[in-house]
Order: sequence, then C-alpha cells, then structure tokens
Amino acid sequence: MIRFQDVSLSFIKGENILTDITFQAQRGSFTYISGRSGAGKTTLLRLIYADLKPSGGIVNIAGNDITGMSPRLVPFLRRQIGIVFQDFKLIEDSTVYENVKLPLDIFRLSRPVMDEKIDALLHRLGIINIKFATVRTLSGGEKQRVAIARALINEPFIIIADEPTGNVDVENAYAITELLHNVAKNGTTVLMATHDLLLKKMFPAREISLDRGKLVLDTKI
Amino acid sequence: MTKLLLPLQKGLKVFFGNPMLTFFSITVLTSVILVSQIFLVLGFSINNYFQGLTLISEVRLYLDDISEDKAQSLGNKILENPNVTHVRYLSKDQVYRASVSLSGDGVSDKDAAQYFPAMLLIGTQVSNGDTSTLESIMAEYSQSNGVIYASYGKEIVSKLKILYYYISAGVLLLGALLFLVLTFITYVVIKLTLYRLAKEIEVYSIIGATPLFISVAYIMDVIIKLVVSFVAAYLILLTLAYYTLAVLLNVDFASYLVYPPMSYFLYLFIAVLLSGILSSYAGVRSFIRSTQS
Repeated sequence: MIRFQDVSLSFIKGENILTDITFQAQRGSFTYISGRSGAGKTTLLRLIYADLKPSGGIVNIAGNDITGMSPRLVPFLRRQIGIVFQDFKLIEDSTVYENVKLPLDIFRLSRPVMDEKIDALLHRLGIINIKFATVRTLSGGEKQRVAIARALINEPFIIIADEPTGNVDVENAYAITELLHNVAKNGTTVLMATHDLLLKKMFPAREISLDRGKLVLDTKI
Repeated sequence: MTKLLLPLQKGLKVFFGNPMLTFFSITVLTSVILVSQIFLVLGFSINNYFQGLTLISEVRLYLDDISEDKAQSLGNKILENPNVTHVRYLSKDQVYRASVSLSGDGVSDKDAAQYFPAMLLIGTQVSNGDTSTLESIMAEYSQSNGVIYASYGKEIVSKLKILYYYISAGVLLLGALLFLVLTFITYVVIKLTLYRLAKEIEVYSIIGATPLFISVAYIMDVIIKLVVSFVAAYLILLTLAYYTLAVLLNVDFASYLVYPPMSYFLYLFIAVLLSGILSSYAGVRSFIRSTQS
C-alpha cells in the first residue's frame, strides 16, 4: 500500500531533511511515526500525499509512483488519502456538515446520497448532535473529530494523521487514537505521527521512529 | 439543477464573504470598465466622424488662351459627368486676384493678370480619403482642348487619409492596452480574494480538488463582480456623457459624441467577461502552485 525505498529529501544540496528511508505499510495496518520535533515526521507524511517530491529513492502509494507523478494527477491521488492535521484545517465559518461534505462535492454525488453518508459517519464518530454547528464554536476535540470525519467520508485507502492529538485534551486524545485504530481494523492503512509515549503504550502498534531525518527504529509488531 | 447552481452559490458565498473587499474590488473594476466604455464611445465617435467625412475637392484645369464661352462650353460638358458636383470658371483676372490674396504680397499690377491662366474648377466628392474619382476626372479632362495642365489638392487629401489611419491604429492600440490593464486588474483583484481565502483553498487542495474545481467558486465571484461593475459603469457613463457633459456643462464636444449601438456594449461585456474568466483562472492556478511545495 505504502512503500518507501531509499527515500531522501533535501532542499539545499548536501543538507538532507530525510535520508535513506525504507519501509512498507500494508493495507489495514496502523503505524506510529515518532521522533522529536524537526525529526522529519511531517515531511515524511507530506511525501505520501505528494505535497513534496523526494530528491532520491522511490515513494509508491497504492501503486502510484510519486517521484515522477504529474502535478495534474496529484488531486486524484489525494482523493484516495484522508489527511488529519494537528491544526484541523477546517473551514471555520462553515458548519460541520459543510466541512464533511467538501470531499463529496468533488464527486458531485446527489444530495440524498451525500446526506446519508454524512449522517452515518457523524453517528459513528458521535458528533451527529453538532451537525449544523459552525466549526468556530466547537472544542478542539470536536474539531478533530470533524477533521477525521472529513478524512473518512470518501472511504480512503490511507489515513495520514499528523499529530492529531496535539491540540486536544487527554481524554479526546485517547478517543481519537482509538478511533483511528478502529479505522485501521476496517482495512484502511493508518499512519499517525505522534510523540506521545502514553498513547503508544495505551494503543500499541508498529512504530517507525525518525531522528534528524534518518529511520532509527522500526518495531514491525 | 442543484448541481448547476452549486458554482453560483459558491460564487455568491465568496462575493458576500467580505463586503469591504467586494466593495473595493467593484470600485476598481467599475473604474476600469468605465474607462473602457468611455473609450468605446470616443473610438466609435471618432470612427463615425471620419467614416462620414465627405469633402468636396476640386480638380483644377489650367486653360490656354480660350474664350470664356469656350471654357463655359467645356464646363457644361464636364458637368454631365455624374461624379461632378459643380464646375466653376475663373477668369485670368480672378485667378490673379486669388493668387495675390493667397500670397498676401499685395502687389497690384494691372498687366500682371494677363500672365495668369484662366481656370475651370471641377468639384467632386471625396470620401474617406479615396482619391480615385479625382484621379479619373483629372485624367479624363486634362487632355481636353485648351487645357494645358490639371491638378488637385492631393497633399491635403492624402494627409487626411493618413490622419485617419493614425487615429484608427491609435484606437486599436489603446483598446488592446486597456484590455491588458483590465485583465491585469482582474488578476490582482482575484489574488486579493485568494489571499484572504488561502486556508480554504489549502483545504480544497488537501481533499483532492483539481485547480479547475477550486477555481469555479472564485471565477463565479469574479463574474458576479464584473457584471455588477459593468452595469454600474454603464449607468455612470450615461450620467456622465449625457447629463453632466451635455446638460449641466453644456460642452460643445458632447454633441459630437455618437452613442454606439447596444451590440457594441455587448461585445465589450463579452470581452470583459472572457478577460475576467481567464485572468481569474490563471490567478487561482498560480496561487495553488505557490501554496504547494
């Protein structure tokens, strides 16, 4: 599903952000990407959704080689990937419903089909009660659930979560991590960047650890 | 139907999203469109003025020593030509006096007039600097009995013709320049909107929307702004040209303005819309690229 082979990335010649990263993540697997700030976690995740291109090596996502991918095809790749950010990246002035509906708008589904999908997902995530609330009025935990709902609505093959628990309280952090684990159990490949040791202990999974752009640990549970 | 209305809904959402920015954008666009509409009226008026400009030019036939009767007879024969509007006979004395009057030296010599030729002046219409009729009349009658030389005011006619070409070229050049300015301003206006909505565009980009999909809302926003600006500019133009100039200020110049048919405003509107659509799409594309690494 996700394959990194000797991947390097540098913006300035001789100064690598990532160096020789090699790993694979299979369908339905859950993987923590850990490391200190600046270790390269976010950069690695950005390579997956083709926000960056590697300077060397191969990045293969669901059979697509990112290295030589035309910018024209990037949006189509991203439709197969759900992305969750620490800062949520939601449209604050819109409602929960409008935010979750955004990926479906691209596919121009009919309104009843969209509503059915959205309601089912909001029920599953326990946020159906805030369906018509404006995002600006929500708590951090609620916003992150909305972001997860938006990431899941297209039933993507891959979920990338970049520090999704960074802006929420402990209780919500557990709930969100548990939710992502359940998503993986349903067949979606999940990569979650975090440096929260407690979370990793509570919900054990494979861990890939980075240090100054190098892969220093791959637990492969 | 809902699917078709979705871009319009999105465009209206962007349009009403920031009233200050929308007001500023409309003010700028209205100003530029007003200039282009004024330019259309001026260009049309100038073109219309020159297209309709018809002057009576005269071919001069210089006569040898022939009697006035013979000259008049030749004149009558020439007058049968349908291209000829009039024929005037000038005696040696009249030609002499006209010459003195033109040169302004005021020398009066009673005997001098005998050295001047009598003349027949053949009037004909010249439209848009077309000298072919003058040339053919000159060629036809310069060989007549008693005619020693023929000429016409070629210089003034050709200068008029060149002036018309210069004005036409100037109008086209300024029109093209104005179109570029309008395109650039629309581009800047949409960039301002995009910077305000950078986060929203980033979200669209993340979820896999294509640049075209993202552009639709902003293109619709620009189209709405252009329609509002065009109508506003048109109303201002009417007030400016036909009330302020003609009624309040009573400017003579206003009477020379020719109001172009509505179809010309429709062409201008289509050109403005096309420029807006292209520049806004280019703006969104470049913005999306600049936000990507």
